[in-house]
Amino acid sequence: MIARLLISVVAGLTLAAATPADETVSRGSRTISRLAAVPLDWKLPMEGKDFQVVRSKAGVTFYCRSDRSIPLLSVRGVVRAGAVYETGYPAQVARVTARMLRECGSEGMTVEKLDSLLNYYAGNLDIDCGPDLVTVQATIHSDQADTLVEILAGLLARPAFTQERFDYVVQRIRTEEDTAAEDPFYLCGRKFQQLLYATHPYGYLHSADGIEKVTLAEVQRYFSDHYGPASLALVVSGDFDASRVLKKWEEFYAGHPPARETPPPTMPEPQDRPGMFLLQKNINQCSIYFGCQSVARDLSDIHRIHLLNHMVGGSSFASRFTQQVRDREGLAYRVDSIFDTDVLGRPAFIARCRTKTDTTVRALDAMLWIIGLFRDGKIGETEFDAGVSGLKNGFVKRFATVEDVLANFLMLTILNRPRSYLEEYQAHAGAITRVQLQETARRYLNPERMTFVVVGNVREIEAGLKKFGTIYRLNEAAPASRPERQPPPGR
Amino acid sequence: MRRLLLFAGLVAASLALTAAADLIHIPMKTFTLENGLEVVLVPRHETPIVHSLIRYKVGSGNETNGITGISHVLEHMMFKGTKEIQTLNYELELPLMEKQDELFQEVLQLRRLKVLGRAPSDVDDRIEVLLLKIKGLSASQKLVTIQNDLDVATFQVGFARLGADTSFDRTHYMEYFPSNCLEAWAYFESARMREPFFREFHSERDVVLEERRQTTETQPEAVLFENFLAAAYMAHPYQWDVIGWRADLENLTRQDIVDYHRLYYAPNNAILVLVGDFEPDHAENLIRKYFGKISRQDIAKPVTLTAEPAQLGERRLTILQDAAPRLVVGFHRCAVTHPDYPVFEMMDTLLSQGRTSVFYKELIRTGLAADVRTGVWEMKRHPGLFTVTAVAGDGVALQRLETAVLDQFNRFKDQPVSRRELEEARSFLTGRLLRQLRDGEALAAVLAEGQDFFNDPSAFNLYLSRLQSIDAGDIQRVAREWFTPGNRTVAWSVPPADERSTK
Repeated sequence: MIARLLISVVAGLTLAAATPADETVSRGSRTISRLAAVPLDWKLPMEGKDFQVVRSKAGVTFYCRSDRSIPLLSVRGVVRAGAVYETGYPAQVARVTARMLRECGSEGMTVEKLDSLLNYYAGNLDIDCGPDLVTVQATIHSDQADTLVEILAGLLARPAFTQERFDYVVQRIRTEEDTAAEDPFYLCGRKFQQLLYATHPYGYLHSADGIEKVTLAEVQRYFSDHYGPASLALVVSGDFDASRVLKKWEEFYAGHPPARETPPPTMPEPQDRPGMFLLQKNINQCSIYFGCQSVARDLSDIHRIHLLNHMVGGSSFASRFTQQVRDREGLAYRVDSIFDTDVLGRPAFIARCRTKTDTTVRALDAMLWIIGLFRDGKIGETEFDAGVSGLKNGFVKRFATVEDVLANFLMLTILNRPRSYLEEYQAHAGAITRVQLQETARRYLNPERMTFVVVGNVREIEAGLKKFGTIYRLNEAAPASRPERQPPPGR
Repeated sequence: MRRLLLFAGLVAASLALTAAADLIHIPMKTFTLENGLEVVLVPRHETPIVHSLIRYKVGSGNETNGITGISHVLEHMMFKGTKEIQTLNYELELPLMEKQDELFQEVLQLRRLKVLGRAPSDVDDRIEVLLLKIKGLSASQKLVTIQNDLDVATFQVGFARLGADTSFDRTHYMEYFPSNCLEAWAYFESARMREPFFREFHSERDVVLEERRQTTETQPEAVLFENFLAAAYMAHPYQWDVIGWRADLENLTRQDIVDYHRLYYAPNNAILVLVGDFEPDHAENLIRKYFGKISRQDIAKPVTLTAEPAQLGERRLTILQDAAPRLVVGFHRCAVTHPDYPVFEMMDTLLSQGRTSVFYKELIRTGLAADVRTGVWEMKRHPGLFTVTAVAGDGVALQRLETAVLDQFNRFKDQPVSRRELEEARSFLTGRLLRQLRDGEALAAVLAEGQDFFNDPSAFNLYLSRLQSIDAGDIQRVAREWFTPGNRTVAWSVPPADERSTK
């Protein structure tokens, strides 16, 4: 009894302590601001002056800049062939196709030869399928630029798909997903995505669900439809001769069918799945995911969303989530939020945390309390100003490497944004007001709409979790979009 | 554009890189302050960003029983500010912190009585009440502290997240920031080297315990590895993982942290590296101004003298946990300064790096293993381990998997690897190093490690040079010397239902 009384006293003190300190500034903090007040001598890189953009005859777009500090050639690229383009195909075909590219080699080079060459010339190559895009990353010693073009162009133009490799790839994806799901946090994220996006590719990307329906013929069809040169954009940097690399690439694509426009992606249906979804595992820590799809796709208020997410949980240790849940209360090692606006489909606000079983309800309370502060406009001026300054002054970090510079401009094209998006970013960020921040929080962070997933020893804490929504129990194996049974309403 | 690296004289007979790799030259400025702080400055002006890294030569390999995990806890505590950062008045905090320390001593005393069987019957309630009183005092203290002040202040002016990483032999603090923040960086990094203020100790210990749950206790592979380490070492502090044992973490005191910091976080036990957009003379002046006034300290115990006794026979263990069957096979190996250390990296590459590796072809492609990895680990200052971790493929018995793994070690002993295999492994390792040298943060870590272990930030050239000289005979010799049954530890993890089949 004494202990319980003390708990409430401590909890009260902890929350009470949260407010006054927010409106004060330490001597050290003032010193840091003063010493960093020197203006940064930097301008947004200019096409033609700082980097080149070239569209090859075949339709491939190149973003190039030389950097001779290291004798390496680096290629990063994107193909508009991510899972979001799977309409009309079996689920998982995008992922299997991307994986096949890395596992099969090309008509001119077996995968064994390809890997042997990469090893021999200090190279590497990764191809991954994301929700929107397939990403390609490769390096090689700069003396071997022709070899890398031969490898990459060969794979992306003329891969050698075989049934044997197809069977292997499908089996590997299943095995890897099984192994990954041993991590309760990964499993929690998978279930959350499934609930939030149901049968849309965003919902099943982190699982092997549906992969049994993919066939080699479907992979070949998907490749043919989505891997044309017009779908491909590459960032080339390092110690290389741009004209030579482009010429070699053109040679490889000679005779290739003319560029076709990429079919449009399928966007997820807007939907809410409010409720508290629980998955039992006998472990001493609970994984938590909660959030909801955004209400709109236009993202005209993108700078405000960025600020909101930074301040709530996106800026790591400077965010409210970390300050409160981790550092003030000691409830979690990592707690954060994501609001990824660089996606083709409808983005989502996602909050995440891991905490021991008996503090799960407390951690959820604290995170929702913080969301409430933003919705109610109770964020102090000092904290608000710090958030805005961080967004403005941290903008340059997006250009930390030569590759990053090019990738920023490439993504403008992918996301249909004008150059002014980068040019005016800091000005837009600096113009946000506290009222706008509150409006944005009310628009996007609505707990009534949110889906909550908890994976852990939930039997012990189920009663406490009812206040967050109707309880549903999940099965580890079954897709979460179909909860096993619907118990009586918990609220 | 400056060319920072110069490659020359590629051998005509082979296009492999490594023949000339020892000619890598990175322009840098190095100096040592009077207080012993070693500094390496590498200017790069491609982007307006600076990467910084401070390496303290202390990690879990410096710990002793009872304070395992303290190196990592101290790393966490270094983000709790100073007498100027994260506080409105640190003097008001002192009595509150001392009272928390006193109460925690009472907790420890009750825990000791419990172990001795002399505790009062309500000992658990008493401990709970004491811990809650500490939380109450901590909450009061927060009225004069500013939560995450250092993180917020640096984020506000453009820093990326302040990062840190503790390993077996060292602790790193690294960040990157716009180049106009160089003096702000020098101010706060020197301040927390000189006078960190370890507030919020008890809540931060809870955070570390959550980290232990997250990274070890709920992760089947980590649970197995923790058990494996404890069996592989009898005496040396490499026998526990960096996170430390739970009970030790629960019983650490703030004074333990203060003492440990005083012992190891001296400028003469640290290396500072900057890479990026700055003028070296200007950076040197700032470093002298801010770090030069920190006092040198006597490092009473710079390294552990506890040597691991020779292993006298194979060690085996089996743990039960509800996860896919898996195993770890490990052999003791030499320290990083031994000329044979790069041979282990070559074997690591041959066995499991990439699709041409032996394990990929023999274990993954055949379905014997769902996952397999080898590692030389970051146990470098003292003799460490060479390990293979593998998850059994669907329906594959662990004994069969273990035999397949050991067959490959025997192959190294029985058959010389081909010239082509050697060349590929050499180039693979060279390429990996080149990619590290291109990346600002990774370059800083490579330079700091060279300075630490070889007193030469460019020691990667020694490594590359040694890589070039390794031949098939070296691989065979080292395999025969180290990959012996008597030098081996094998750990299995099986689901409880499969226990009978392992007996």
